[in-house]
Amino acid sequence: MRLAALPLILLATPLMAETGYSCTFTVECAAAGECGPADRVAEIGISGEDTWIFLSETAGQLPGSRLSGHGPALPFAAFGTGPASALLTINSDRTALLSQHPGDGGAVTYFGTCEATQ
Amino acid sequence: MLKPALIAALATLPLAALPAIGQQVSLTCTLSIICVEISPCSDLEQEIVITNAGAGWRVDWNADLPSDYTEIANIPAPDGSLAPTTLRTLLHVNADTQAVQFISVEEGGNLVLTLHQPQIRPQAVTGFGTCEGMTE
Repeated sequence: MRLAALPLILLATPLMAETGYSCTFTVECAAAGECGPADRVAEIGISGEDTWIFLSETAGQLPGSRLSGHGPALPFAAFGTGPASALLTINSDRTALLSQHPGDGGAVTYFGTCEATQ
Repeated sequence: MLKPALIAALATLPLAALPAIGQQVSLTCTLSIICVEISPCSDLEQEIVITNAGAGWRVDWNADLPSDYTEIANIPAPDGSLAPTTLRTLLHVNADTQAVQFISVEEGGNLVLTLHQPQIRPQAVTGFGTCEGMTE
């Protein structure tokens, strides 16, 4: 049982990445709704040309794409087989936005900050 | 450094779906609500046209705005979904303004659009609308 779970644990951890970002989002705004406090985290792992994004509600990693390595904004997009498409952008001052379109016609945007990880 | 086994596992991750060869899409959409950052939302009457005639995705706002988009997700409904529908998401990266916009359209015609430009105000804009059209 423990051995069977090991690959999942390995896949679910962002520590395999050489570099990345650890993000904490403290404000949640449902579009067409109200804003409120949030406690949401996201991890971005980068290794060479590969990027993964770990969102708290997913069991593992979503393949991501580093959209730009230049300029003050560092946008990332997460996409794939998850229940929602997501877009995460990081500004040069490490403020960050995470938006998701869950597929039910709604949208939510989280406001927070990211720190670079080694 | 990544271990070889992990590299192999990563290689099995699904890639972003591409439009099916020969698939033709033409959607006329109306953005009817716009929500700027945390301000109250307001009404909007903006028509956009989403097309894929086989040469890639386009979202036409008007002649002055860029229209090249990339599909980043084509997600079928998960098993047991109460509202089975397919979600398709398109992305546009504007290098000139350092803005990123993504548009999600579900099979039933509902559309959601979000813009990120965290370096200037407004940092985030979200719009809602509906689409009519055809997929062949």
